[in-house]
Amino acid sequence: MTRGPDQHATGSQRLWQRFRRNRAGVVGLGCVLSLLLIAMLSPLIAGNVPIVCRYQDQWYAPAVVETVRRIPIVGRIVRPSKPFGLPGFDAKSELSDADTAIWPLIPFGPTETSTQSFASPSSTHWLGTDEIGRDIAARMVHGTTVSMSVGVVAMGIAGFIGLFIGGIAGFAGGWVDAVLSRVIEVVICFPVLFLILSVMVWLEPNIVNVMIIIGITRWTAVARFTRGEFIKLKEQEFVLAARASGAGTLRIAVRHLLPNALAPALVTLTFGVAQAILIEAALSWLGFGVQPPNPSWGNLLRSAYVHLRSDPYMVYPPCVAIFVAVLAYNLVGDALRDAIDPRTELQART
Amino acid sequence: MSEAMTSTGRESTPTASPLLRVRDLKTHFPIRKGVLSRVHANLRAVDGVSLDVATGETVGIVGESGCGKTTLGRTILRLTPATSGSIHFDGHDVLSMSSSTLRRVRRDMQIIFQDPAGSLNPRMTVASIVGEPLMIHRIATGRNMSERVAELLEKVGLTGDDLHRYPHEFSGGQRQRIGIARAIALNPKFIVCDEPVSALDVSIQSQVINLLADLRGEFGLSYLFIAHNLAVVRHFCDRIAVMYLGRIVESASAANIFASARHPYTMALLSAVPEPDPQRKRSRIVLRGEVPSAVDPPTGCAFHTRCPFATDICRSETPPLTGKTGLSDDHIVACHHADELLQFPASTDHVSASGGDTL
Repeated sequence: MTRGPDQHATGSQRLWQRFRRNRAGVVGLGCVLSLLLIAMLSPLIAGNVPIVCRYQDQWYAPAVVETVRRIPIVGRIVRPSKPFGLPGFDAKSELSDADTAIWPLIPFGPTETSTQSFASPSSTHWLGTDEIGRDIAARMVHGTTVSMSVGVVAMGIAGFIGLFIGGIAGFAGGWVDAVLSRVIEVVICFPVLFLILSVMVWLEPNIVNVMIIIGITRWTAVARFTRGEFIKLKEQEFVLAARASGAGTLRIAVRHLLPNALAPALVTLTFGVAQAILIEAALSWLGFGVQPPNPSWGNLLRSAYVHLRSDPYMVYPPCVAIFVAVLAYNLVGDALRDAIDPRTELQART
Repeated sequence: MSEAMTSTGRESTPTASPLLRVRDLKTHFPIRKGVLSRVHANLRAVDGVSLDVATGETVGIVGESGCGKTTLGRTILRLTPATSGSIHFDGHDVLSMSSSTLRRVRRDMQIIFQDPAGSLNPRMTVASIVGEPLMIHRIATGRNMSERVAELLEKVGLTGDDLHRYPHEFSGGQRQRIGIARAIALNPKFIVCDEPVSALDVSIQSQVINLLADLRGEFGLSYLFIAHNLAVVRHFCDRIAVMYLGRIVESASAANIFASARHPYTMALLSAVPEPDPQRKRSRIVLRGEVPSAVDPPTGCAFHTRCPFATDICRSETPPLTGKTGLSDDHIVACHHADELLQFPASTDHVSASGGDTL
């Protein structure tokens, strides 16, 4: 029998106390956080420029600069570290052994080619190289960035739309609810992959468009949960109390209903990230997602698939990565759902 | 205390314009069915209630679960839309006022809920719960607000240290005190207390009742005190109205309800009040059957299906709520046989003697 949550903990502390009891969820959370960390720090893990180096009597940190520059908006302020960012500048040949340099763990860029094509896994190329001699480990690390950002950004868009539409439907009720519920049902009926494929014919197939299109087709689950939560919550006495205090519609929706409806939406969004990762992989595999030479798990799988008979080693890394990521997000979603359900308290785990 | 309150209450009742005047108020909830959402029946939660509350007066509403007393309280504050009738509060027509006027008038009329857990937003701190009305009406912000909230908390028996805690960190009685602090934050004239002590332990009940009584003395508040237990309202209310299936069946000063109840339903409620003396023998009026459905209320007197004294006229004609001979002026009863029931001393005598001082 486990100890009940601390009486004086705040809501989020109690959520964590309950989440922690689910071991699979904690493992999943560990995987998710590691993947996010790899995604954010990928130039520091794999790249063909050093993390820190001394070149012609000056200190440089090209990989750090590159990492910062990839942060949206804020990254724009930082200028590229010349001459390392310039095309045609090969850090490896420019730096002599005498120069001090700390290289990333995998000292290859994701699009850096070499003469060694189809090299089997070795101590130099941990996961081998592909048909034009690019290091697969480096491409996997940079593919993580693509998969994670597609998952998170797409679900951010979906979460926003879902909370908004579901919130309005649940709060307004009546014919507004009827119309929006039908809209939700129609969107559910879309065969998402085919819709995306047809839209991608008109749009430039790139990562941003993939994020947007997944976001605007995968919001229905969040909307339905939020609608239900709003309907349930708006009958609560604390909402009546707020109305009696003179609170307007907007204040009630934003201050009283939304914070209480966020937890179930978060659960659906967590499952949604796993879905989005799968959709992105499928799109890239079909050639409608991230375009070569930029790596993503999906197009890595595609290039591996072409050489499946002769060089089967290439197919494992993207398969394992997709599997682990999807499983991890689902485990976290499951644990989160159990943690926010107050009835979990009663069935104490053994 | 109760004696003094009763007399002031009786004097203030006939004044020209009471603080709250409710006339023939009806709140029906449509029951929709089928694809086209046709209204197929109405649930008559409140079905023609007239009621006055004078300044400084406390009126108790008593009745079983489902008799419409909670809906009545919420309709008066316009938290539930009324179907027909009129509500005048402090000279304003509550049902027809614009939302901006309503917001202003709501500073003067507040509500305390039955369930102290459900009436506090679990994701807000005490400071923001109690401070919210102050913020909405732009009475205080920032530091001022914290000071004002701390002051309010001290007034209801909590401390300023509780400001940044969440509702779940408090006991039921403390939560109800937070709800009371929120209700008095705007310095209202009138508060609907919707069974404020029903969810609390008996020992806590009296503390909360005493707090409400103190606040009444300090701020000159008027209360509409909803309860399902006569014992609770006996000493707290000036007047008591008994509700059955959406209507008031008997209304009188608190003392008169206990001394000379005439409606058989009131008598039944009185006989259900616990008797503290186990030696004392008394006969109870035990009501049989269920409360009839408010969707399809019985014809005539709604109580006839369970009334031990019902006759043919009760089944066909709705009795008016009027004064009866031998009763004081403010004592009104809706019963065809109110005069004859005086002949049942067995039922009134022992009942009035067994009021039960549970408070």
